[in-house]
Amino acid sequence: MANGDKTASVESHEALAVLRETMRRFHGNAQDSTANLRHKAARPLSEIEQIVQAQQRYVDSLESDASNSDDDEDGGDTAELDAARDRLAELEAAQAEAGSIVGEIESELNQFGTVLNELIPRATDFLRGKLDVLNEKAAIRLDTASTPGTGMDMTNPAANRALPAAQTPTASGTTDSVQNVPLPDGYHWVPLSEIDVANELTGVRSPNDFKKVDYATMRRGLETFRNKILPTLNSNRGKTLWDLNAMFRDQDAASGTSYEHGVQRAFEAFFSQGDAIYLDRGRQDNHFKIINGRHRIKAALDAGWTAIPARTKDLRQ
Amino acid sequence: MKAETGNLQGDWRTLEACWRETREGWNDSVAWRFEHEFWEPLSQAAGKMFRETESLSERLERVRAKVTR
Repeated sequence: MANGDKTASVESHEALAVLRETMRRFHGNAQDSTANLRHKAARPLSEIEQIVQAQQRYVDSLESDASNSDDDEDGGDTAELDAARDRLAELEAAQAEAGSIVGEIESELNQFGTVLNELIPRATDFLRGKLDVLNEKAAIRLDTASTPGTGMDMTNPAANRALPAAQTPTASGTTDSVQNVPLPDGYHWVPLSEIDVANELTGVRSPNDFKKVDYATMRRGLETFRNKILPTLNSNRGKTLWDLNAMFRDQDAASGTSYEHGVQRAFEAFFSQGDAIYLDRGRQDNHFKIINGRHRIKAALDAGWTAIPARTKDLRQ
Repeated sequence: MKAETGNLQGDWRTLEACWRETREGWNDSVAWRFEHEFWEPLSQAAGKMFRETESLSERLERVRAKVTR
C-alpha cells in the first residue's frame, strides 16, 4: 500500500506532526542518554579495577617482605599473605564478572541504538510523506482569494513581489493591536518574533519554494483573512468555531460565491483542526518550532504581519 | 545509572503517550502499517532494553557492593 493513502483521516494531521517531532526528539535524547549510560556503567568497573590494583600492590609488598624476613617470622607473614592472595583472587573474579556485565549492558545499548537509528529516521520519513499528502489536500484551502483574470503572473516570482504589502491584520484597520482581535478557542496570536524563523524556514526562502500553493495565491489568501475574516471575528466575539464557519458559509451563499473561491474555505485554512498552523516550544526554548504552516508563516512575514493565529504547545509557559 | 535510565524512561513514556493520543484519532490503514512497521518493533526494543539494563545494573551494583564491603 502506498504511504500516501488517500483514505487517511485529515483530523489526525496535527497529531501526526506532533508525533513526528516527538519521535525526533526522543531519538536525540535517547542517543545522549545511552551515551551517558555507557559512561556510567563503566564507572563501577573502573572502581573495581582500582581496588584490584591496590590489592595487587598489597600482595606484592607482602611477598617482598616475606622474602626479606627472618625464618622465625615466616608463620605470621604467610597467613597474612595467604589471606591477601585469597582476597585478590576474589576481587579479580568480581572484576571479571563486572566486566562481563558491563559488556552485556553495552551490547543491549548498542542493539537499542541500532534499532533507533534504523527505525526512527524511516518512521519520521513515513510520517513526513503522510503529512505531505495531507498538506497537499488541505493547502488547497488557501486558494480562495485567487481571482481568475486579475492579471497576476502566476509563473513569474518577480511579478509576485509587486503584491502590496499587507499590514498586520486588525479589525480597525490599524497596523497594531492585532492580538485584540479574538480568535476561536484553542487558537492564539503568536508574535512572529517568537518563532525561530531563521532555522525553521530554511526550506522556504523564495516564491519558488511554494510548490503546492503558489506564492501569489497564498498572499491573496492572507489578504482574504485580513480583510474579511478578522473583521467578522472581531464583531462576533464568543461565537464557536462551528458558528463562525457557518457564518462564512452563509456569506458565501449570499454573495453567490462558490465554496472553492469563498471566505469559508479561507477560514478553514487557518481554523480547521486538521491544518492549523501549529507551533511547539520546549521548556528551555526561547522560540517556537514550526510543526505545521511554514509557507503561511513565510507569506505572513513577507506581508508584514507581526503575529499569526496558531495552535501551540508551549511548555515554557 | 538509575537516574539516567529514569530520564530515558521518562522520554519514552512521553513518546508512548504521544503515540497513544495520535493512534486514537488515526484509524486508517496507514496507521495500521505505521504501527506494525515502526511502532511495534521500536516498542519491543525499548521494552527489552529497559528490562535488561535494569537487571544488569542491579547485578553490577551487587558485584560492586561485594568488592567495596
